[in-house]
Amino acid sequence: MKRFKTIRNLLVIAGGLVVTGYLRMPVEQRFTEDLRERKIVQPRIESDAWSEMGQTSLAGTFGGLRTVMASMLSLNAQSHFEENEWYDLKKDYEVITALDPYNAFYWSHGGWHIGYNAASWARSNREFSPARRRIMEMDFLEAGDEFYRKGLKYLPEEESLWFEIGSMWSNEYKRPNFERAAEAFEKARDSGNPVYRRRYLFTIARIPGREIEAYEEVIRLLTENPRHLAVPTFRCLLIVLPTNPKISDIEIKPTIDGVFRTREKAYQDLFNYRQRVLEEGFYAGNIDGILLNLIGELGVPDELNPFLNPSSHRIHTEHWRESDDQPKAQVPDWMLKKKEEGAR
Amino acid sequence: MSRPVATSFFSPRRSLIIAQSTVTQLVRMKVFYFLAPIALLFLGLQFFDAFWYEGPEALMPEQELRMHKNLCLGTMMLFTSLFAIVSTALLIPGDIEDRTLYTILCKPVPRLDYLVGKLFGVIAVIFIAMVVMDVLLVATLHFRTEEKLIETTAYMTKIGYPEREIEAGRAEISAHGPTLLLQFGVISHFLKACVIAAVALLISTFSTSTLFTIATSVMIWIIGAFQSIARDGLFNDAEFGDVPTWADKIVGTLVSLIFPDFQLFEAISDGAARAEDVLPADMAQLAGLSVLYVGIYVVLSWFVFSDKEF
Repeated sequence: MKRFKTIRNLLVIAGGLVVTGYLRMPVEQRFTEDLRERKIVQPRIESDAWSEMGQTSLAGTFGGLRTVMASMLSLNAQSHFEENEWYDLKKDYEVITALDPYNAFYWSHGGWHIGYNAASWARSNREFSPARRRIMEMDFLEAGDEFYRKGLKYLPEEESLWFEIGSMWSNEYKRPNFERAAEAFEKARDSGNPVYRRRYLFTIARIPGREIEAYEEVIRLLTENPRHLAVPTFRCLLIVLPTNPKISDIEIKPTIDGVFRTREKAYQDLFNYRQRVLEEGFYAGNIDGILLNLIGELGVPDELNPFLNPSSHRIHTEHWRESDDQPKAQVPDWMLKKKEEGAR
Repeated sequence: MSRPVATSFFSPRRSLIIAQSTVTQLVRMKVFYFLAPIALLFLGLQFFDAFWYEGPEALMPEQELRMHKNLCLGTMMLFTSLFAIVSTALLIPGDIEDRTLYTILCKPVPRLDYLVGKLFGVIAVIFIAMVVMDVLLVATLHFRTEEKLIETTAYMTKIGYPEREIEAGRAEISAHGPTLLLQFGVISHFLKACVIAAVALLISTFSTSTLFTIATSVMIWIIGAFQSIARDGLFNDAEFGDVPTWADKIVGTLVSLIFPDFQLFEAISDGAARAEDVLPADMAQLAGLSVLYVGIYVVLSWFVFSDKEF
């Protein structure tokens, strides 16, 4: 009798749970999907990450402590960073981001460790042959790129990750690949952050054959916000890019007086820009001709004349910077003219 | 000839009295002593720069605050869930052992009142513990947020950020401080603990040992964290072309039907800790689901307990 009762009770419990489960299941699924769409529910942990998790992480995940475990593992990753244990660190970040994929910090930080720190370690590690070092460095750069892009799958609106990819591929101290950098910066060119917006321009201005695109970009940026004029390289590109003989139809050709506050300031910026042309491959255009004109006009002393006294130094005058780097209060005349024509 | 006085089917007053005695019973078990290490942990997190605040998270104030919240909310969740299981598992066997159960059930007290009273007693103790932990969380988070606001404002002012951007930076940090949204996270852990207590109550009605009740409840707690994966497989197409077998489907269906979905509670709490847009409507829906779960488990417990012989 007792056994019958037990079996009956278990059957009733199972039946009750199944019937009520059948009724609540669609409600829970709709609720979950709604939360998932709003990125409140974390996505499933991928099968690769399961296999890399330690027992503690697994236990934490089973107990519903995904984000806590992610925080703890990030501390563990820090110790791998300090010990130069890059492969362990990469695994750590794969698990961390599987546990807390909507935290941009982990994608950014993990990508930085892999693409920057591990790659630099490989490049400078004298224990390996130069060929091996190069292979390892490229492997880490590619792994960093892949890591950032994986983060973008979860956080497509996170422009900072595109910016990080672009910065990594345009870094002078790594293996610059401006085409790849430009591809990444292009994704952030409509960002609310003016630094992100300008980097696409500054990158394509260094790629031979993309000067016309760079000209169109500099004009686009200026038309939408004259505050970009506060940046010296932007001012110089505005003057140098239109000197490209391949540009047949120049609608807007800024003048030195329209862009720079004084001719002295123009000389300083253009002098420094010429150094970037020589060292970093920025578009040269007619920079030499423009500088020669200014040298004649301003009576520039020989020690500041790059044609007589070649130097890798920049001209820096803190006083100039303080007074002249402020954004122009007024929109330049030539822009107003363009606007009026457009209005007509 | 006098007619016997009819006993009502369910009396909230009787349940309340049993709940009060359950609270007394649990307090006598010195359960609140467990709050002391938790308080020490929360205060330690605040007043000592623990090693994790020297880690990469320390580079970003929002991240540091998130970590503080994650650790505190995680501790609260662990404590309340374990407490719900263990205390509920101990109650009915405890009453049998010290024979309190007989003195209650020989009076005109319906067994439903007894079960509901016991459950509400446990829930009341969890609530009190939750309030204490919440006050500690809010206080420590408030101090840490203020500290971060002062540091960030000083730094941004020093390097010449415009006022508008300083305000935006402050707002971003404040969003990770003690907000109403954070309370949603605390409430969701409380609701989860209530459901777990109800599960343990159901198991304890037919279980023959406390150990079995605790072990089974812990297993249900763990399976509940993954129930949504099984359910997802039934509602959505398989990922990466992996077509589930019939066996997968049957297991998935059974898991989805029988076990509660605890991932929803964790998701809301995580979302609140991340300062995501958790809405009051979400909380209402979660509370509704919790009431439904507790209701189902109480009714089933009553069915089993109603003709149980002692």
